Amino acid sequence: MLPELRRLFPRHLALQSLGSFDTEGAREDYRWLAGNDAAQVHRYLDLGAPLKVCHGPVDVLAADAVRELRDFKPAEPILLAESGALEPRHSGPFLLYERDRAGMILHDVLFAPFFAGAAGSGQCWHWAGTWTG
Amino acid sequence: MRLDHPRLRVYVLRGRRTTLLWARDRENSWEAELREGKAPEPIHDAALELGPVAGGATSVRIYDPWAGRWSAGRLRGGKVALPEFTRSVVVRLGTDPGP
Repeated sequence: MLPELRRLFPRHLALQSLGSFDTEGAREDYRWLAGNDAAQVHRYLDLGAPLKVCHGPVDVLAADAVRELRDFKPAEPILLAESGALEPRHSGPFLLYERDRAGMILHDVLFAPFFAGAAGSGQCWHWAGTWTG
Repeated sequence: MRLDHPRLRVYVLRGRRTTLLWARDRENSWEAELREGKAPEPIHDAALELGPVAGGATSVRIYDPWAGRWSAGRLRGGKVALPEFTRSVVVRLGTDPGP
C-alpha cells in the first residue's frame, strides 16, 4: 500500500493506520507499520481493553504508547495520533467526559506524549462530546 | 526519562540547552476526579531532586498550565522547589550557550 501511495502522491506524507494499541497482540501489528513517514500509534482510556494500562491514568497510558513505539527504534518521528477516552471497546465517547470540565483528559493527551519523546502533543479524538474524526 | 518522586510522576525531556520536566500528581486521575468526585488537592512545598538532570542549568522557570502562569524558580543543592499547584506543573531548565 505505501509504495503505491508514494507513487501516486510523491509530495505527500504517506501513513497507514491501525486501531488502538490495546492488546498484547497489537504490538506485532504495529511493528508492521514500519515504513510510515511518521511512526503513529493510537491508544485510549478504555475499560474494556485487554491491556491493563488502558484502564489507568491517561498520562501513563499515553506515555506508554509512545514508549512502545520508541522500543521499535523507528527512524521516523513518533506521534500519538489518536487518543482520548471511550466507553468499553469503542462503543462511544467516555460518559465521564461530562464531568471533565477542567479538561484533565485533554491535558494529559496533549502533554504526556510530548514529554515521553513524541514529536508533538497527542491528538484527542473527541471535542465537546463529539467525534472529531 | 523519569525522575522519582513519591507524589509526582516526573517526565523529563532533555535537549542540548533546555530540559523540560512535567510533574503530574499521582493522586489526581480520571478515577479520582471524574468517577469519585475528588477535587484535585493543591500540592504545597514539593521539590524535585534533579540529580544529573540539573547539569549545567543556569535558569529555572516554572509554568502552571492550569493557571497559564509563568514564575521564576531557583536551583539549590540540585533541587527545584515548586510553587503551589494542582494536577501538574512544568519546569524549564535553561543553560546559557556560553562564548
